[in-house]
This record gives sequence, structure tokens and C-alpha cells, in this order.
Amino acid sequence: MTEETETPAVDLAGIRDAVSVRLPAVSAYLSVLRTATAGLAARLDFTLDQIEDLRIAVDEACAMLLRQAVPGTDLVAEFELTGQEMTVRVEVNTVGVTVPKRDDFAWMVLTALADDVDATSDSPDHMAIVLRKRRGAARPA
Amino acid sequence: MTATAHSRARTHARLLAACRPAHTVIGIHGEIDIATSPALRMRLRNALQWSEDVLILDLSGVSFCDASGLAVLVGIRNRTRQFGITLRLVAPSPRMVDLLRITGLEHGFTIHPTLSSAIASRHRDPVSRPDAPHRGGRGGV
Repeated sequence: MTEETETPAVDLAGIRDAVSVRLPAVSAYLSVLRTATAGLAARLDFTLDQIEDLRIAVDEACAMLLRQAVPGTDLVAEFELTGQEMTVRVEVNTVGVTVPKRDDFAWMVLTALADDVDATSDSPDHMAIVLRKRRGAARPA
Repeated sequence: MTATAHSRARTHARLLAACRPAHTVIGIHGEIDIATSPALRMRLRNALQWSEDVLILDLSGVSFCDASGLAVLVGIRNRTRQFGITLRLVAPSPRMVDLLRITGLEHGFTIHPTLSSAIASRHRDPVSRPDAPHRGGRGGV
């Protein structure tokens, strides 16, 4: 799982390199998701610094969503790996939707460590954060 | 399952406290995230009750810290300043220093590379509200 050097979006066998992880929407499971994130980032040959960026970014995105998650529901994280980039979409069921505050520490950290971040909600009972991290992209100062 | 996960989460962060004359040294070990930060905040607030002139937080054992951990540090710093206690951080990881910089908090803390330099330092934090009600007596509770 961690030894490949190049991972195209669709490999020669036609397998799409996408992974979904479904966990209880409870903070105690965040460490499990961080571990999964690091393992998947290693598949793309991200540097150790970039893997740590992703681990923290995914953690912050989930932390923001878990504040609003309906108890007893799940958090779903979808990872898509392409040759140079990982896209992570994390989503939860919510009661109502609150836009993340831009001066929130978690949001500041998330946007600094990921290359792109988007908070989206297609319905009032659903919230998602999509973040992207490119291999080799310099982190903005 | 959930109950087990909760109790496991509590074991991820540990405190080791030692009292010296006028100095309290607390070593924090493990991962600080939204699962562990509430208990950490509570324990540190309790530690303030028996801290005297200087509170030293040794962060060298922290293997992960996110924005919720930064929020704990900011909360403790605000309280130490109210109480006239000097707060010193020891050996945060380079990544933790990064997060302090990203969130604009880096100048709000005194950071020492080693525990011995933190103990030897003679620098004192300013008291933010000298007229604030004291926490209940020096070394009390």
C-alpha cells in the first residue's frame, strides 16, 4: 500500500484510485482517519511534511464538521488520488448549516495547509468540506 | 464500541506534573485533538490552582496537535496572565511552531528549547489584570 512510486487516477487494471472511509461522527475516531490519510498520502509519494500537512488539514476539516454533526450519524471521508494530487471530501449530516468562521483557528490552519479548500452544503441537513493537496506545491507563507 | 472509543481517546494525552519551588512543570504527552483537548483543558486549569510564579508546559512529548490544542494553550495563557503567573512552553515540535505562526499566536508565547532553559529563565510575563480577583490564594486548593 505504501511502496508504489506513481499512482495514476485509473491504473492499468482500470481500478479508480478512490477510497471511502465511513466512521461514527465522534471525535474519538479522528485519530483513525488521520492514520488513513497518512497511509493514502504515502501512496502518492508526498513528502513527510506534506503528509503531515494533509493529516492536520483533514483533522481540522473534520473537527469543524463534527461540531455540527447529528449525534449517532456517520462522518464520510472520500479520498481520490491522482498522479499529483489528493482530493479529500469529508461530510456529515447536520441540523442546519453554519458557514465556517474565517477567523477560526481551525479554518486558518486548514486553509494554510491545504492548497484549495471549499466548504459546501447542497441541503440544510448536510455539510461538506473539500480540500486538495498537490504533490510538490509550495505551501503559501 | 463508542464508549470504548471514548475511554481510549482519553488515554491518548497524558500529563506528568512536578512541583519545584515557585515553578510547576507539566509534561504533556500524546495527541491533542478535539477528542483529548477538553480533558487537557480541565487538567491544566486545575493545575493553575496550585501553580505559583511560573507554569512550564513541556510539549516535547506531544506527537500531534491541532487547532483545538492551540485554543487550550491560548486559554491557559489568558488565565496565567490574569493570575500573575508566567507561562513558558518547552520544546514544541517544529510543526506546532508552524501552527502558532499560521494562527498569528507565535508572539503570544515564550518558547524555550529545553526544560532547563525554561527553569533557569528569569523573564516574567506581564500581568494582564493586576486587580483581577485572585484564584483563591497562593498554592491553595
